[in-house]
Amino acid sequence: MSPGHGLTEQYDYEVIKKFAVMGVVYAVVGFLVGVLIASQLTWPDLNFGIAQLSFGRLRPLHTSAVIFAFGGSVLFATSYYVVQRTCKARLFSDFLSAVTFWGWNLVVVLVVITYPLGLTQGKEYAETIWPIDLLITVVWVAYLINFVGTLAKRKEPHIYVANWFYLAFIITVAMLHVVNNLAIPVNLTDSYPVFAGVRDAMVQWWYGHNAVGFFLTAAFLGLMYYFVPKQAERPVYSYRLSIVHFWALAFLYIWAGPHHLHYTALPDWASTLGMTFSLMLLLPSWGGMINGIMTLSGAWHKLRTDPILRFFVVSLSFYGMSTFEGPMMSIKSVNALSHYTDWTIGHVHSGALGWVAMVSFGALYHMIPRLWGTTIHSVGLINLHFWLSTIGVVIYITAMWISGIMQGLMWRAYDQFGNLTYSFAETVEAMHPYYLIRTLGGVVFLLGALVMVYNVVMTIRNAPAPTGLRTPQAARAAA
Amino acid sequence: MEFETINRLAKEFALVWFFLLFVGIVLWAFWPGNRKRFEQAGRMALDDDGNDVQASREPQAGETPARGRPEG
Repeated sequence: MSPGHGLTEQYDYEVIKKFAVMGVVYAVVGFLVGVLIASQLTWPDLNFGIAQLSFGRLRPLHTSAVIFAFGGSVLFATSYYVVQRTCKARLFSDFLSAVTFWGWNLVVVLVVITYPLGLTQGKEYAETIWPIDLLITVVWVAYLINFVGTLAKRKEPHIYVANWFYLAFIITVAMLHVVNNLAIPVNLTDSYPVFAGVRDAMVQWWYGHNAVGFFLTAAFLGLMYYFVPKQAERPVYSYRLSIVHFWALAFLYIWAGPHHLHYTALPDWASTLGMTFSLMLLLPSWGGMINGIMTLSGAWHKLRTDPILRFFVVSLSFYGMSTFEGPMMSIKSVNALSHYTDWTIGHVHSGALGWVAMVSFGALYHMIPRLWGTTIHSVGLINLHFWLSTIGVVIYITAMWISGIMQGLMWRAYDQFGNLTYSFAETVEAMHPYYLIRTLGGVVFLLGALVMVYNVVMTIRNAPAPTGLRTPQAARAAA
Repeated sequence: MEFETINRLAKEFALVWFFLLFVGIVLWAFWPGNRKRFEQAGRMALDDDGNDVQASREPQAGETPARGRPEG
């Protein structure tokens, strides 16, 4: 019998292919909306006087498109890929896989419709109105059952560390989503949160920061722990370090939320608690960064020829940098300068573009040829994408650092009589050149994503007929 | 029992429990007897190709892919 026979029964690659393609599509959509709103900040006339296209409505569309549509699709695709291959077991249920794919994409479609219409519950990264919140809950429970069910039928005795990270992400996001969205509906589109005042704010940032911690960090570390060793063809540098930093991350991240609410109505002790845990987070974060980069020891020469590996190394470098910057910004006295300024936007994008998007690109380039049983169309274009991404991120975050620190300093400047030196409009005017540079960085990053689209389309188009391999005859003929 | 009492006991219990749990995890991770097991686990991503012929199979020397991209 041909070795290829029976493969499609063993692993479910169809749902992964769909999520991978949607991940690429949503990357372009999310970055495009990002470039549009960055342009609107530079040239406010780009609102066109249309309420549905105004910054306030498109900004949550951008964040949701990149985090939940692009990031979410990449995480569904890679988690299904990694859990099957490291457990040597097919996904638990084809039905639940379909529920997660169609359900998640329905959520995205509803987001695209509701946000521009102004239908929102006004919670950052959780703007979806209550009926969509319920749909997300159903999809997420299906995901949890499908993932745990696959782990339960594994043929390997040990559960690989990547799956631990993915599982922590799924469980924690379920908990955060449900608690943060507890609300009393009054009609189809409106509801009132059960928490009020500063409690509501605290619950929101407990959710918000752990969306960063578990959606954008733990889950992508799971991705990293599979794809980096695989691409480098080296074992994990220290598996024991991965266990310790996993648990340290899980124990610490959940407490860091209050640093979003320094100098507010939040009690001082809660604020200090959040700051302390944020500072301690540096250790497990760098544990992951060091473990990922050191996995390349003995394979450094591959960086000369392998642009996928370059994506991984640079993404880990950005991860290390932004997880150093984050704890620093959580210190109250630093936060007094940085909060509400563009520095925060720069910090978020060094994490989101530098770490999350670049590690995702690496994983997609690794996974897509394998899913379609082919090789990548052009390694040179991966390299081009790598440089466009890197240059785009660097332009973006540098502009935001300068703009943010300048903005913070201008806001707090007093003259000799104790009056504010600058009016708000003067700070906006001073930031204009940096908004232009930021837009340019975003455009360069978007161009890179378009190069990826071309490369992925050509790779899939040139792949051997996928259905052919499913029959034993065709598999024999191909072998 | 008063709320304050329950609150205090819960905090103290959680502090001790989480601390001991984490110490236990660290001891487990670095226990000399587990060294071999974890070194093997660190290779799990590399050892998953054996049963995945379609996905990772590179064209062999002298073999033309069924409908691959044109050479050159």
